Amino acid sequence: MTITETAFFRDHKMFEVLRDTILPRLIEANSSQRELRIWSAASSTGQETYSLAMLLCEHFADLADWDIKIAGTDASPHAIEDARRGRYHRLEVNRGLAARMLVKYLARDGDEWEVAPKLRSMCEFQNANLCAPLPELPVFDLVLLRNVLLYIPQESRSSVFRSVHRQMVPGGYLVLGASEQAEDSTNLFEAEFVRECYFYRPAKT
Amino acid sequence: MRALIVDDSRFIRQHLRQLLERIGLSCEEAGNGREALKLLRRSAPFDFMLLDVNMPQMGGLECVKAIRDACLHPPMKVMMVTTEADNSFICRALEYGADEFLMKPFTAESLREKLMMLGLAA
Repeated sequence: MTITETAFFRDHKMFEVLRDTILPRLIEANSSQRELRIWSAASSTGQETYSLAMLLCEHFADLADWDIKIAGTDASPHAIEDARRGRYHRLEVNRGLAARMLVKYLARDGDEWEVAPKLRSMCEFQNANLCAPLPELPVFDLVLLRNVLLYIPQESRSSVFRSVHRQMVPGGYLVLGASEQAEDSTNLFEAEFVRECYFYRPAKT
Repeated sequence: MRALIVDDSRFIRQHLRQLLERIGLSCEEAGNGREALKLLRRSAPFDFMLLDVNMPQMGGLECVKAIRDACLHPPMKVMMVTTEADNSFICRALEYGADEFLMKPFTAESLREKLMMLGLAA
């Protein structure tokens, strides 16, 4: 089963905490190598991945010469195809995307809006089933695994968390959906509560 | 919180009123920009205005510009609702003082999300 329910900047509060707290920490930690790797692990049709790219462009101008890659993966090849196209209908751009951001980062083309080349160049999409062996991926500083655990059988969740853990740098952050928790399925992560949002960091062994 | 719905269609005003009241806003209505200005000049402060673009007598663009030029209810958030959606048009509306934009057709969920973005819904 694949779920394609998504929106730009879904759960605005979490994106605010990323902007104000989590990304500044990661940027400081990575300031010598000047690179940042982010994974939208259930990217659906791409809105979350492009939202992350917009967030970086809008609020972190100092990263212009950094090597930034945002990977979007999803189990649905159709969703990945749509994400790569980066074109969205009226009902989709109406959801979660401030008008100011819409006109700055998407261009209208007929009945659709197309994501700006600058954002597209930061994002790479590929098909990946979280319950199966993952394709070749880098290790990430920040992983978003949101609103997908609900659809993964309880008995498979610890294996998904192990896969995600393997793809993270030791000081990285994992973000789950607002109503999801890691504690019941794994002890690989330690929770940190920041402004009403939970973030998970690889546990120190 | 108080909302003013401005649209020349009574049917659409009723529909928007239902949606906004469900979110917890109390609503008043005006049938065009001129009526809205009149209401704003004599009314208690509004927190939010949902403003159609194409209306007789005074359309939404002219109305939002007049509201901001006259500093009527300055903290009031104005969201324009329209089928017109060229980027240049949206930019002009934002320059004139609109805070947000909602394109027709829209869903109750997208209206709620926009209100959350404006800090008007939880």
